[in-house]
Amino acid sequence: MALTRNVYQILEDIVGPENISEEPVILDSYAFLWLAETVTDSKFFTRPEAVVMPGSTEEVQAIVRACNRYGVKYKALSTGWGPWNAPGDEGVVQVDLRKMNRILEIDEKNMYAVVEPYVIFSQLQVEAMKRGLTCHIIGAGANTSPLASCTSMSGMGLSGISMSYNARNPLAVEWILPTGDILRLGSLGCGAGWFCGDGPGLSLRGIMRGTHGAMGGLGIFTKCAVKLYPWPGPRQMHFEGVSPGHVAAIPQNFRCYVLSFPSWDSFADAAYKIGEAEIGYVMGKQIAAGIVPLMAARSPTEYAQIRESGMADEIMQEFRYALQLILGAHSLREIEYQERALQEILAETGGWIPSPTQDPERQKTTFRMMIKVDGNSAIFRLSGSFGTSFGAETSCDAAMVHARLGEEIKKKYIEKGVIADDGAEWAWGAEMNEHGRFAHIEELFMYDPADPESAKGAAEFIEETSLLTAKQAPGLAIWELARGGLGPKAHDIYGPACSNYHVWQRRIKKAFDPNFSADATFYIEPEE
Amino acid sequence: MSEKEELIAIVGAEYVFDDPENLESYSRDMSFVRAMKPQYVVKPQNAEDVQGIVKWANNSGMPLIPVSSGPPRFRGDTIPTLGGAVVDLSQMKRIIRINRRNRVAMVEPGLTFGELQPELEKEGLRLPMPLAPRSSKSVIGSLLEREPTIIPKYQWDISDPLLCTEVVFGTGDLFRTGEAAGPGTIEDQWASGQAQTNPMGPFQVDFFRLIQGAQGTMGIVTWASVRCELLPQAHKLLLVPSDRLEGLIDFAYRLLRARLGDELLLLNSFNLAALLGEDADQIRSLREGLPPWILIIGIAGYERLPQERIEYQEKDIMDIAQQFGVEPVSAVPGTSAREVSKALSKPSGEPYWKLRFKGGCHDIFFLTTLDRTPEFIGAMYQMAEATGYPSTDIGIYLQPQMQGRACHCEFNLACDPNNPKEVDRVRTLFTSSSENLIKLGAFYSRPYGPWADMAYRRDAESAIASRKVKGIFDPNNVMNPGKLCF
Repeated sequence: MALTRNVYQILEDIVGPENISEEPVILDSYAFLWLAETVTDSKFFTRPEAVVMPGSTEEVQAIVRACNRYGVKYKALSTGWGPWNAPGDEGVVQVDLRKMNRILEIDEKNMYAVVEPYVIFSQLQVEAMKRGLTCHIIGAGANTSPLASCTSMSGMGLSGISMSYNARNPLAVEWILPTGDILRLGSLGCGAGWFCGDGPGLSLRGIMRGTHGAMGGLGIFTKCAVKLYPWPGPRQMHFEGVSPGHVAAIPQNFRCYVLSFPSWDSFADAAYKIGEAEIGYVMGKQIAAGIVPLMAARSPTEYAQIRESGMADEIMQEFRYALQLILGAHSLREIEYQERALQEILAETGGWIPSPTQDPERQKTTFRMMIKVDGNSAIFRLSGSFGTSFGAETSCDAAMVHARLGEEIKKKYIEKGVIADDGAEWAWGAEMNEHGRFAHIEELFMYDPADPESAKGAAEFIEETSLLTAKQAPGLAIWELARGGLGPKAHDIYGPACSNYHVWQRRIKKAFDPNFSADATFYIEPEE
Repeated sequence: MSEKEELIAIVGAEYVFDDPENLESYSRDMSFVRAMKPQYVVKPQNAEDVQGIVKWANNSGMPLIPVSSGPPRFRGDTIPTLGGAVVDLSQMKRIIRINRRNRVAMVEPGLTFGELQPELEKEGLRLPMPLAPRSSKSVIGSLLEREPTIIPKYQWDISDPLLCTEVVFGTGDLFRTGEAAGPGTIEDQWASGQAQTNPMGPFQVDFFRLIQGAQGTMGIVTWASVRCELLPQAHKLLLVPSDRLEGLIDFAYRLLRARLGDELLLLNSFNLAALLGEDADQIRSLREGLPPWILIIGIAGYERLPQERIEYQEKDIMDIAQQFGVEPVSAVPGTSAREVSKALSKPSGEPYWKLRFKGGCHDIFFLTTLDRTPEFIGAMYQMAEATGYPSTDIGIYLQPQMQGRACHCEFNLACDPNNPKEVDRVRTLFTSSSENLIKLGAFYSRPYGPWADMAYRRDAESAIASRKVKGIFDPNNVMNPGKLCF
């Protein structure tokens, strides 16, 4: 369903001819997305009818109003990857926000930055570090958008232990509602500044997002104040070597460890204790058993050879229950205290520091990767793609249940030969957000997107794990994966098991988007 | 059946009241909000009672005014605007669970800080408190009102320490917010290791944020899980006196950046005197001796190397203090850190500390940033002078929030409620300064009484959006009508 010439012309008048396109080759580039084949049996998700690139709040508002007036749906995109960033239906205009890429303000004293949608974490982190601050970078990497993470997506990342989860990191927000009206949340709406996103009275942040965002299903966000966090490191990080093998010097007031434990139970005990001691700066489970030989292999063939030879088995076992931890302190006294506390915790939980990780050069690599969150491309190396599952924000003990269930279910798919054999263990996360107040574990897996059987196996794995989290009580799955795995009825599957939340969410969609103009595919369909 | 009989059928005759004395006691509080009597006061015992009452209100059209804290009340939010039935939750006092491993407690709305803290202490926990709350203050009431607590480092989000809730929406539907929503019963969730520690969701809506700050206009909370912290094994308080607020502000920012200290708040001499003094004479005398401004910093050691933690923090604080030209001490003229620590560690004794000077008190509070507070304080002094209110009698409390990203700025105007002339003067000052402060950029995030009009007049789009939310969760407008923008 192509756009009518009239509508196309109106959109062109808003953004200018150089910022609109309906060329198939351009449009397909928006539909070619990671994980698409687990949702659509194709490497492509839905192709938009046109793409527009607004440069300002006013242009975004005009686009949204025009779409409402002419019955056209729209879907916003900033840096995102994954099918939830693309239209889910025919006849949708993709609103690509890449021209809105400015850091508008950094309030150093009050520790926040005001950003536009296409600012990326890496850009923000560099500017923040100049002021002794940094930002919580999500697991998806430093190449993604803080605004999207805070307003529209999820927000988990390994710095969560000292920098929270991004659903909890927005302050005031400028939001083009689905109807085109501008809502300014919190203190901004009253003209008082960007320092608070809640009130007056009830907090409309509750409508904006939950554990996960509306993923474009409830309007477009044009500015967001994002919390920044203290960075006691150098104002500019210095690197040695060539990417991706570059390393960062570890400052005197930081430490970087890999900690191994004999079981999930002792892993959890240590995570709780570290949280309680308030000593972690970045912490999580980044290196899984399966990833250890991957780091040594230069190709999938070599990975398979290493696995088959058994030479990695012992070391894989050593990293099976491993945490990566960065301690960061504001003084040398503090770092000494933190080290002593950590030693006590290791002694109490039977934890140890694996000898290969005590190499200072390796520590520098780990430090760089965990501070910059810039090593994610490696995950595609083995099989061409990866998927994930589970991922509730919940207690650490419940997250361990996810890890165990993930291993159990994954074994079946490995045995079927549809996903890569990673030793049936790739639990990622365990951030212990906010010094241990809630945790997060995903079970990652690798599949071959070029192999239809493997892609089908990946889709089935996501579906099975999503259904499990709807039926049992270990905590909910990551929404976008569950939606991808279970299809348009996902909310209607989960809702009856969860206080019928879907009924209320549907009413919210109807009240705030009466014309259903914002693409609802990854939010909630208007009807059951 | 009459209305009263219907209510009795829901909760029992012993929990429905319509005698003049009872109705009168809920008709007014210490604020300037116009008094109005409810028709009934009803005291539910459990969530089922609450649900029955809300369904009854939808059928009868009777407004409901939820109340969880006992008197004296101060904000006008529990005064009926259109009459109706007060739903007094004070008898729902159960502590449902305390979970040490996840540092969380689940409690009912009638439970006060004074009742919860000793139980938490048995488990090695504590709940961060507002500044010496009155003894009758409900924990859930305080958290639903987004009252600031005195330990800013534990406030990651402004909603903390509120976590999950069970709520009866205005429609009469029972709902659980956050991870408590499901799947599974709460007991099922406990069995799988969950502890209702994630307030968000389920999935794409933060339902709890629509209840919090809503002044009872969306529904009635029947329990909530709350985020607790480790009970310090060792604790030390430092007082940093200064003639100039600005110097203390810069120092406070530096401490917040370095994540030093637990309790961290600023009081002027009047408020510290009010907190410590037992009566007006003692308060006057204390105020004269105290330094004009005091930054209060608590340092705590928990279960892990407690003394060592205090030691490094104290040394770091002293080093920074030297850079900023201020001196943390254990005593200032008129009081000691030990005395202040005692006052901060528990709910206020009787009478409530804000009432000890004159028997009444009117608070003006809003959110801003810490660096802007001197501007508001200067303006407040000018307005006090213009109305003839002694600026030395203004209590000032500055509470950094969200780890220092915002600041609760509070002015306390003591007032003799039996002196009509003084009441008039304070009313004039309260009204005019509230309006002037918002013009200067004060954000009434918790807009009680006349502040609601002021805030929503400046933010029409929030009012429109909030009304849409109201239409979803309380379409018949039975929940505390007349409050906020409803």
